[in-house]
Amino acid sequence: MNSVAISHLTKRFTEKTVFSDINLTIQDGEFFTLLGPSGCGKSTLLRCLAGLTQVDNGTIQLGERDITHLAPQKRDIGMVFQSYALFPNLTVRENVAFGLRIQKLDTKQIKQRVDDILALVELGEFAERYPHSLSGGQRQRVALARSLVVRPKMLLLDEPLSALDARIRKHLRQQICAIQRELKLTTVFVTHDQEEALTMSDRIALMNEGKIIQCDPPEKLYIEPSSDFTARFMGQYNVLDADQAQQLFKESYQGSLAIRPESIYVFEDNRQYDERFSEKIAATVKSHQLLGSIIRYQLIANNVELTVDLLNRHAERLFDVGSELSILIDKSAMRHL
Amino acid sequence: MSTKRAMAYHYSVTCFIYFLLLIPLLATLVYSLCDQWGATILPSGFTFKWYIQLWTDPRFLTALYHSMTLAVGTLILSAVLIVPCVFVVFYYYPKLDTGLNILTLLPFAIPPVVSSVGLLQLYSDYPLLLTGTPWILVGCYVGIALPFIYRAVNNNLRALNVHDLMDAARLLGASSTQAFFKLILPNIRKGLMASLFLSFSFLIGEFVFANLLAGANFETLQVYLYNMQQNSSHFTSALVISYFSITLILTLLATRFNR
Repeated sequence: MNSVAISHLTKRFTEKTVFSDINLTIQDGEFFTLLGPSGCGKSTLLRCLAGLTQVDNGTIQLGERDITHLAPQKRDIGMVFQSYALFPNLTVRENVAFGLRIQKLDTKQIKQRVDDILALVELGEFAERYPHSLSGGQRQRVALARSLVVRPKMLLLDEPLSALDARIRKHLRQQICAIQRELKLTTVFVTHDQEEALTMSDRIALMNEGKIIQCDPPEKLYIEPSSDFTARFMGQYNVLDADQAQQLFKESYQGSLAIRPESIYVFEDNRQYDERFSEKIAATVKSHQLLGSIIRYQLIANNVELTVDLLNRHAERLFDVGSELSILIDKSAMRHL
Repeated sequence: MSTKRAMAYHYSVTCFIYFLLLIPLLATLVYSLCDQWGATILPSGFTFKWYIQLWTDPRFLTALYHSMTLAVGTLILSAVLIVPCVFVVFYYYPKLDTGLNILTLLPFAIPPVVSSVGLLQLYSDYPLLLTGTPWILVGCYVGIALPFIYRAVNNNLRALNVHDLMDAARLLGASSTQAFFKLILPNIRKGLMASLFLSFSFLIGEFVFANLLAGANFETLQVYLYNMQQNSSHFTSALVISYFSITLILTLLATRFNR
């Protein structure tokens, strides 16, 4: 069982506390994501798990073992870096074989395992090439193969996709997920990209300023944000304070209100709206953006600015800037924060 | 101008500059091959006798041997001492880099004549009686090689993303020492070798320290050349050409070997 238990973990750099009193449990075989803006401490936390950064307080347990003060060499943890960190003097095969050579396995066994893992990341034909002749996506797959070939108990991924272009990133995302599920490998993934986190993870810990704000499966994190920060970070949520909410709905509200942009509808004459929906509210189009399958509108309703996402279905349902329309809000999808 | 004419122009300019640079060397070469070239416009005849005289002189062969062993020995010692030091400073103690940087400027900032006076003072008495022995030159030359090696190694390390490479190697089970020898060293090899050749050609031509600190007790090529000034200038020309050829051949061999 390769579950991870982190308790009361604290890290300070001379003056600044990076994070303090972090408590997390990661299940065996889980794809766990640390998500947050840059500087929130997620990468430092990952480096502490790897043993590359010393912790000041608290414990990390991997399976039955306490690894808090263990050297990185002895942790059985694989890591993929944002910069790939491939060894430039070695070929792809030698790069992947590096860890096995250190373990002094026999040549035949090394060859077999390297061939297998290169086939898994679809790089068999590149085995004799040097890293500088590979594309970014290929390099990252070599790095992944290199960390997987030693059969680690846990895999750490430090923003492995952020240096790649969008198309390759999407492909590699699926590939990493597929491999992770196939190997049932406990994985901790660090990213600042909420879309990446939502699509890949079993569970996400959202971090800010060294604290874990919310730790939930992606669906829950997206639909039920527990705080202002989560709502703003996870999507294009409209977060209204009590005054704005009152202005919009003409009812009194306490605390702030989060409304997802896809839970606001444009009123259509021939449709029935049940009691989930609010009263019709008049609104004016301020601007719009085409995001492909979705058109994102900025509307002004009762002097409150709202972001509204509409499916890009019919050409006649495009609203120009300045158009007057009526909107309805799905009240069951609103979150009181 | 057509491309062809432009190319011809560039070509001729380059050739002219090469020729200009080669004149002194060619003149020395011709002179070293002349029998006598004094009162007449043209030399009286060509001969290899100066070269034969030089290469049969045991004093010259000893000086050559001294210079070679001194330079090679110094460079091996420098590489063994300086490379790990630069790496350790770069990787573990980056704050010390400023100090090391200043240290590498010292051999340039202090003229050899000045520092040799200091060295003479320090090493002419017990317990460190080193003056007149090759050992004082070895120590001194390591200091001269330091800036070349430091610069080259440091620049190579900067271009290498050392921290991630070391982290990756350690997570794959390698110790820091293993990572240094298997990954860092092969990747800085080219720069290191280039700096060693540079230091080699500098050290083999070093005169001031060799003359002041060791002098006649340990005669090197340059000191030998200086002492032979009273001899026929045809002879010294042959010496200069020989010296130049040796350095050239060694550098070419080393460059080839390094490829």
